[in-house]
Amino acid sequence: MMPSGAKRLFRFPWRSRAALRADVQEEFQFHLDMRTAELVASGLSEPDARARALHEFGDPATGADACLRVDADVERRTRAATLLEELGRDVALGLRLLGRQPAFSLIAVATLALGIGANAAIYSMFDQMLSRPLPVHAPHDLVNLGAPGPKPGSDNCNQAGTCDDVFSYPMYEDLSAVPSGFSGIAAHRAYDITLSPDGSRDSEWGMGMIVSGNYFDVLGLTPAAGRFMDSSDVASGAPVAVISHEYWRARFNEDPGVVGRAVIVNGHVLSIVGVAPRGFSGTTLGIRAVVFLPISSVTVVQPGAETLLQARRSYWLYLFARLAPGVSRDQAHVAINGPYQRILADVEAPLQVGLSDQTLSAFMGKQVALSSGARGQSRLHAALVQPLTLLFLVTAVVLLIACANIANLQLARAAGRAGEMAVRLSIGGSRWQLVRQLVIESCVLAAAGGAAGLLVAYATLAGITRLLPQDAMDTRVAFALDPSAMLFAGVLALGSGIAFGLVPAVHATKPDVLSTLKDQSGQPSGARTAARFRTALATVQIALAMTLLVAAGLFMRSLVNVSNVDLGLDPDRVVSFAVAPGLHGYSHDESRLYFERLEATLAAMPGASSASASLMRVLSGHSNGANVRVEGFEAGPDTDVNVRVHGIGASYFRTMGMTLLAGRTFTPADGPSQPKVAIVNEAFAAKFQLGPNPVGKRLARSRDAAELDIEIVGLVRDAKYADIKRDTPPVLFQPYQQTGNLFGMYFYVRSALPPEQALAAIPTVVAAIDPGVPVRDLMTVPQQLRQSVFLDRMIGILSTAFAVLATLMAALGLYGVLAYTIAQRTREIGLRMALGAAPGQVRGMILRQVAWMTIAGGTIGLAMAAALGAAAQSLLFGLGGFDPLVVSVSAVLLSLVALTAGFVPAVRASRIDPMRALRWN
Amino acid sequence: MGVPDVSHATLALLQGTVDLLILRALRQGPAHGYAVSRWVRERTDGVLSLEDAALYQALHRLDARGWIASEWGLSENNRRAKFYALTPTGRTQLRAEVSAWRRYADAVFKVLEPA
Repeated sequence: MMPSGAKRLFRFPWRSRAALRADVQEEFQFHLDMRTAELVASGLSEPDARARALHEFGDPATGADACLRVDADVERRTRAATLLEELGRDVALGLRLLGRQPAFSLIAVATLALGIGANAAIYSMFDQMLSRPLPVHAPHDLVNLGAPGPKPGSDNCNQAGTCDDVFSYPMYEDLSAVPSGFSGIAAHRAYDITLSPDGSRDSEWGMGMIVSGNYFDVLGLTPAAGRFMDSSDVASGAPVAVISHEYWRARFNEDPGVVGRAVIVNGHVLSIVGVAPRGFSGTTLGIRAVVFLPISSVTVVQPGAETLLQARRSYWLYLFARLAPGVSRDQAHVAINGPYQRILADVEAPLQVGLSDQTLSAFMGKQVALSSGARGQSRLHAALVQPLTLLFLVTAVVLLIACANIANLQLARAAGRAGEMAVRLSIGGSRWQLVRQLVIESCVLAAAGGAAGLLVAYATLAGITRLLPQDAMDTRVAFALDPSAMLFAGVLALGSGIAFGLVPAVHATKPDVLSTLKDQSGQPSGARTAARFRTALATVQIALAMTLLVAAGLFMRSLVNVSNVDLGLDPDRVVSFAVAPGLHGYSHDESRLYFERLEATLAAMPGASSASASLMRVLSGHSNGANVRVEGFEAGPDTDVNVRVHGIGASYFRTMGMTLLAGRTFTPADGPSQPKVAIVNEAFAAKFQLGPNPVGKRLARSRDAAELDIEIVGLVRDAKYADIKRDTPPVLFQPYQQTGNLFGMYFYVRSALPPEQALAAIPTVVAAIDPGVPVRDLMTVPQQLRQSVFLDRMIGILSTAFAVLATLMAALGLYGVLAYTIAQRTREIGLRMALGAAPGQVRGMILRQVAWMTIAGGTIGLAMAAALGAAAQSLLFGLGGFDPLVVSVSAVLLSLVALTAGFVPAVRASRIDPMRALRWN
Repeated sequence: MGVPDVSHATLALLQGTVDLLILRALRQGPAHGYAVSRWVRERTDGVLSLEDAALYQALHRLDARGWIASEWGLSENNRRAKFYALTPTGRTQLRAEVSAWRRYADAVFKVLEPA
């Protein structure tokens, strides 16, 4: 009797369906033949016997199919079970083997962890910032609207998009009313606001979003509690609000009874009608809205904006729409632009005065531009695409180098295991089994590397988060490793496991390895190919490391350039913050008195040498502009007469360390009812051809003002305005007391105290005047400057870190190749030395190989770096994509590292004892 | 032939019976399908005749279930044939089914015999 399970041991593996069918047919045929023979023996004629046998058998075709189904099922199950069982064995064996070589395993896992971790970290950023769609219904049917072209009047834009993308409210209403390819168009705009729940006195800063009545409808969202606002709220101007889920949880403990309670926004009591769904915080990456108000409440977020909803020449709203079912983006583009251009021609063009024919025709030719709205509207997308793609590329290269390293190590191990492989092949192990065993070993390594890589990714993200602007921590994106990043790491680990495992595995199990058994010379055949392959791998590593070194050099130099820009002001030892008493019920005049008092109080702080204020934070990317008419400067209708404006306190120049070149600074005497005065910078004087001393010249803040009501009283040296990296624009400084809006103000204190002490003291000083006015954006100016160039810093620091990592890995790879080559060539080297070669000659021989690999790899690397530099040109500041200094330093650095990596094996080679080497087997 | 009017109710019973017959046939030792078929015909004098196609389906099913094992070998006339043999599981199963059949048959007889 056969024991149970015997069949499985001896059966032929992998039976095809055709083979199974042939078996069944053969079995049936045997039966029919036997029965026919029996019946013939009992006296029937051959045809009768066959017919009777067939009749007794029944339907052979159906029977065969049924048998086949059963057999195929068995086959499938056995196959799966066998595979699983063998996989388990291979994994266990792999773990055991790796455990036996802890040094190798540790290096391999650490290398992979760094490679995979860096990738997972950057992937996580990429995914969160650039590829994740909004958490709304069918996000891919959303489109963003823009309207590039002339916008005579005033425009105002924020993080949601450029000033090309903003619309006026009347235009929004017109577009909503015409038939279009959209099922709805929504409008929104975010503001800094202060808010507190009813009954609570401590208000905090947050982002508030005013939205059109159909905003949530167009997004297809369902409220977590209560209802969303609708067009009737907008029509009635009801004081209502929808709060974010996050705020609901933080301040109301997710109480469903929140509907009907109140939230106080900028001092206005608004009734909460609903809660936005979990995870939804607006449609702009980087702006985390905590409260949504109907657009009719615009004066809540922007006091004094009473006429904004009627102003056709004020462009400030961001629009997006949902495509109607079955309508493509192109069709919607056609559908919306007909009505849009009619509105431009019939309604808006007659309102424009003083435009040249050229500008007017450009105005009439404007078109609504549609772009994908799946990810919402944010300038961050455009700003981050290039840097993140670049970093992604860099980390991919790091992983490549890591894989090359491990492939190299595996090849070296494989050579050491040639005997083992040969024995296993000769006792009947199939090559497929051996390759699988080796690849699985790699995958075990990779899995460990992937797991450790998650830790690396986590640390990397924590580091990146520290580089980001402070306010980004709570308002922008929370960097965390989510399941998709983990999945990505897993896929990377598996992919790299196969990538670096397959070649060594295929090589190690070449059938001619069998000769190893017979040939005891110690040189496995095929070693030459392997050596060549390993040398090529190391050379590629050098090339990749060179590329990254050059790239890192470029970005570091760019960062140095950014840090060394002559600002024209001295930011050290200056701390700044903002207050907005206008949000807390202060009238215009009360605010002005508050600011003057605060200036005086701050200047009297211990250690403070001066203090001042400005309406807008300097060097933060914010910028306000106005057209001017300047005495003695002839301007046509199309002449650019735009300047940047800056409302400042009396001691501003002293506090910021700016140099007055002529005239005087402002004084407290330049009050609101005094004659209007201004100070201009050198760029302003140059633009309007005011000569070396513009003091005494007059101007007006309008292109076509009849009266020049402002007198220039001073000239100040150029200092950077909004952006460190931009040339200084023409700037018109005015006393903040003489400008319109005194809603909120930035303050600056120059202090001899260490920054931490100054920072710590300020909230107390401010609270002493009015505890109800909270301080925001408190930081030192150098801190703020670092944040304003966070992208440069992030790219510079990360690319350098990755380049150093890559270079070290390449050095390790080079060392590994050389050490292995020398071990392989011990006999040859010994022979040379026995024949009279000096140790120096042997060293030279090895180092020459290093030099060749470095030159070859370095040259390829330079070519790749040149391409990378050209592509990344726009990210560089103050240097080109090809920088001789960076290239030379990188080349020298790489050569030094390569020679150091090669030196140890070279010295070891030169110390080979000829006698022992020749005996070595 | 011999099997009249097979209703759905008796089909399941029949299938179980075929399994039992096969297991019983193989108690004598490994055999190919034709031998099993002949054994059944001879032992029942043709009363319990069943289609050979169904017999082979049952053989493959029992093989898949692990009650019998199969192996290709040479037949008495030197042809390649598939031989089936009882596994220990099959042996246990046979014992259990035989006693179940006995109890079943006893019960039915008790009902049929006049009290």
